Amino acid sequence: MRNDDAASTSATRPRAPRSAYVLTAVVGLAACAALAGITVHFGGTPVADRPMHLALSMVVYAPVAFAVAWFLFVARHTAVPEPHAEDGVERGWLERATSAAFLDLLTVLGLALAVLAIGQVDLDATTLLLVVVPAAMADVAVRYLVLRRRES
Amino acid sequence: MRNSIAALRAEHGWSQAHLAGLLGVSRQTMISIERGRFDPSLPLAFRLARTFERPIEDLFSPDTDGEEPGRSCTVDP
Repeated sequence: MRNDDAASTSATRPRAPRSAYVLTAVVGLAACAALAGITVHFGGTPVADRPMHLALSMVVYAPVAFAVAWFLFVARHTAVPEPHAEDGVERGWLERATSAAFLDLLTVLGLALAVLAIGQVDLDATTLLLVVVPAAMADVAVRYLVLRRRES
Repeated sequence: MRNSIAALRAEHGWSQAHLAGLLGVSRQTMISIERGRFDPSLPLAFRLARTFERPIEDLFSPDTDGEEPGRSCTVDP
């Protein structure tokens, strides 16, 4: 019996043409610069500080810009669709991770609401969302990784 | 559930990746099924049976751990 447990599938994965990677880099960089430019222009940044703010904004937008460009130009060549993805173990892991994370979110938000109401604390909605949304995403990611480690 | 997927796959000389490709699922799904850590959905179980040309009962059998005494899956003739 062939041992596939340690075998890599990279040899059989389709590859994108070089032009796709070039397009990803160019479009990603352009999107990154455009978003940073818009942020700096409409953000009321003093002219003297604009170059630094532009550079910092580009660093912040770069992961998203390049990820979207990758999805648009490279993933269309390399992603292999699974005809029955709904039957896969990964779908089950994701569903269990998201439902458990949702319960965590309800619990934490409920407790937070109680604490804030009793303490009569006023909290800015943007600040709250800035904490809650990444925490919820991290919760799903961690739960997914734990399930994958335990059940793979 | 217990299953005999790994043994049947070996009989056919198929890799996990090949069998996963035939069934339209990921290799990770096949690994988890063979290790008994993931019970396939009914459609996937029937596709497995069809692929191996065996009745589904030949591929899967229930775990007997924790079963109440006196309860059995067999039917008296």
